[in-house]
Amino acid sequence: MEYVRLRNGVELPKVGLGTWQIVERSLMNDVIKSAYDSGYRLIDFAKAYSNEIAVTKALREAGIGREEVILSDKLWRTVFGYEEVLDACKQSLKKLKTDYFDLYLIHWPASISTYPDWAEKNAENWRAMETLYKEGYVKAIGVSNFNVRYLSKLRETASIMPFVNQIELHPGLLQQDIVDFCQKESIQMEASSPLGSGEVLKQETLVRLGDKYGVSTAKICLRWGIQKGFVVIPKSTNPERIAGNISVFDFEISSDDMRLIDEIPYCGGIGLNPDDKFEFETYEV
Amino acid sequence: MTREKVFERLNNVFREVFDDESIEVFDETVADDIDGWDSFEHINVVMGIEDEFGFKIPINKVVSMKNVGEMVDLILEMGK
Repeated sequence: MEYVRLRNGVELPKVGLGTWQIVERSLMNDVIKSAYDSGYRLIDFAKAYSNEIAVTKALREAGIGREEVILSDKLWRTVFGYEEVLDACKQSLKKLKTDYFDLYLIHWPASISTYPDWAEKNAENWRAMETLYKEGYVKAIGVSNFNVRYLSKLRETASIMPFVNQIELHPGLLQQDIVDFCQKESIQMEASSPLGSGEVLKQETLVRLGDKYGVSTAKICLRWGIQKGFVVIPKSTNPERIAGNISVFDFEISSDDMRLIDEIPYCGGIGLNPDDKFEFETYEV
Repeated sequence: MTREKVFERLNNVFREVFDDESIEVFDETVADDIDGWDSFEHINVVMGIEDEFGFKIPINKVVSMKNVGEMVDLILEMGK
């Protein structure tokens, strides 16, 4: 496994396990066991995925010790306020039966279309994230779904900028403005949904390149993300695909072919925009 | 099924969902009484009940149940 190093020296594997929509306990047990056996060490989950306790139990079932994995959790978007964020993180730590997260992310910014005081809300939550980091509850803090608007506003008040920004990135969805901003600020990009929807894997360019390199189109997507410098966190519940998604270090995509992938027009996006008001906004914690 | 039997099985559901063997629920138990019982874990509670008792809880009931007692009433009603 290859690793990226964050600004503070914390290392993250270039491929991690995504767990969105894996809720059912026995399925989580199988997925985490398969993933660990295949070499995964980074497990990405979230309070809003309703699977924090499922992850805890799966690790215990598989006999995997705390120090053997990198746990990455997310604060839900209805939590606002300094004390509230500290409490939410501690509550999640309790569910994971651990005293630290390797990575803790703000899942969504307070959106401009929902909160007139969005900037203050994000600044205050981030101040709590900095405290969690300084007090050792979290080894690295970051954000998710933050576009340039939210990141640049945050920069005005943050004493420590996020170490990570997790956004949807895959062929057909480059989000170049955010990637450029983050690279300039040394914020590590983490690609959620690195395979996009099924539509991405059917793209002719990717299918052709898969044939050329003798790998699946999914591996082309993941390798593309890694060569872009992203940490990729594919999700699968199929043991063979889980193992396949991490075997992406034995080939390299040429720079010409990387450009061809960059040129794939928009496709396969989930379609969630952090500027929008969306239905979960009213979902109480 | 007796009310006592429902509680016995329901306690097992809660212990499994919250990974805590010390949990014991009563008629008047509400979400605030159980550490971590928020709207996201409520999904797991509902799934756990459905698995244990073998029926689907109607969505309007999922959100309207005010305490465990109402949950037990519903289980007894559905199990008729």
